[in-house]
Amino acid sequence: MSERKEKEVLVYVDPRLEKLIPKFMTAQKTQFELMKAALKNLKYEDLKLLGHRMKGSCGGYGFALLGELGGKVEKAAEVQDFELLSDSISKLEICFESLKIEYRKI
Amino acid sequence: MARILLIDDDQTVLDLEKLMLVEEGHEVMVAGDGLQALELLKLYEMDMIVVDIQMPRFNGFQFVNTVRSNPQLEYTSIAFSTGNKDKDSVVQAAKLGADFYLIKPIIREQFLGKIREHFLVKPPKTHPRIELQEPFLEEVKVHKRIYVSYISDIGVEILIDQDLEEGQVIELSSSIFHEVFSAGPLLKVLWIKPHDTTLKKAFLVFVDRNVETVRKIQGFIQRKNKSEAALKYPKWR
Repeated sequence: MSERKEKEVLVYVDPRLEKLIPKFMTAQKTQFELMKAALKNLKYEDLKLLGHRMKGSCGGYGFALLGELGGKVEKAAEVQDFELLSDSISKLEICFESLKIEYRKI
Repeated sequence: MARILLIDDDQTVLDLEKLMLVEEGHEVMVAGDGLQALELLKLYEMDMIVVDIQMPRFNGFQFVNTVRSNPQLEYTSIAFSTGNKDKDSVVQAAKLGADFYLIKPIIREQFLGKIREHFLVKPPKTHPRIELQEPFLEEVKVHKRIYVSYISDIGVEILIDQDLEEGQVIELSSSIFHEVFSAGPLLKVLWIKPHDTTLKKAFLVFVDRNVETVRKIQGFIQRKNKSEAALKYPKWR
């Protein structure tokens, strides 16, 4: 569950997952850096895989927006739509920059 | 509760699924791809395998195909946990003999609910619980036929090759530890675990990767002897 507060993307995370979050965030940021590099080199297969992974893992932790954008990257990479890929990756960048996590029982 | 093997190339997914299942009381093992998982299946009997489809080296379909061709693994339930929503993948999974199909992202109640529901129909077998994960267990090989393990909430245990005679145990223990293992309570402990072949196999694999020197073990045993173990096995001093 997430909501936008001006420039902030607030994500509510189940407190039971708190100990997993640092590792999870590091993994997602690494994947995102790989995505940017893959876009630069037009590696669509890599983008498809990275998007697929992000889609599969983020929602379970409560980061639905990241998961959705990951899904868009996967789909855009499938049809090699560079414009849509750039747009989704820019949105991901904004999202990562403005994420704020709050632990709350859902 | 059940023993469940999770297979996924995304460590964050493994972490999440494992946490949920452990909270439910299940015993969970993980593998990063199908080949690693096959190695684990040679050692442990599983009640359920939860496997992703898209993985490097050996994907989920190849893995399930291999498992379902093995009659020894007939009882093991298989669930796919995947981001693939397409009809072809669902049909392929069913054809290969999967018991059910979960679509990522993992939603706690759906994930656990489906597994609970499945175990009502096909209950898990009872397994000897294997506690090999750090920090709960330290163990070392002191001789090719004697192993020492330390389980934090139990105390010190000695595993002896089940083929050894009592006289050989005494001989080996005195030559290695400069102590004779012959006291009643200790002997009982000595002979319980070696008959558990599953534990033994798992233990041997762990030991092969963690062989220490005899000197270190002697220090280790003396240290443990002075603490909890001494309380539990007072004759072993």
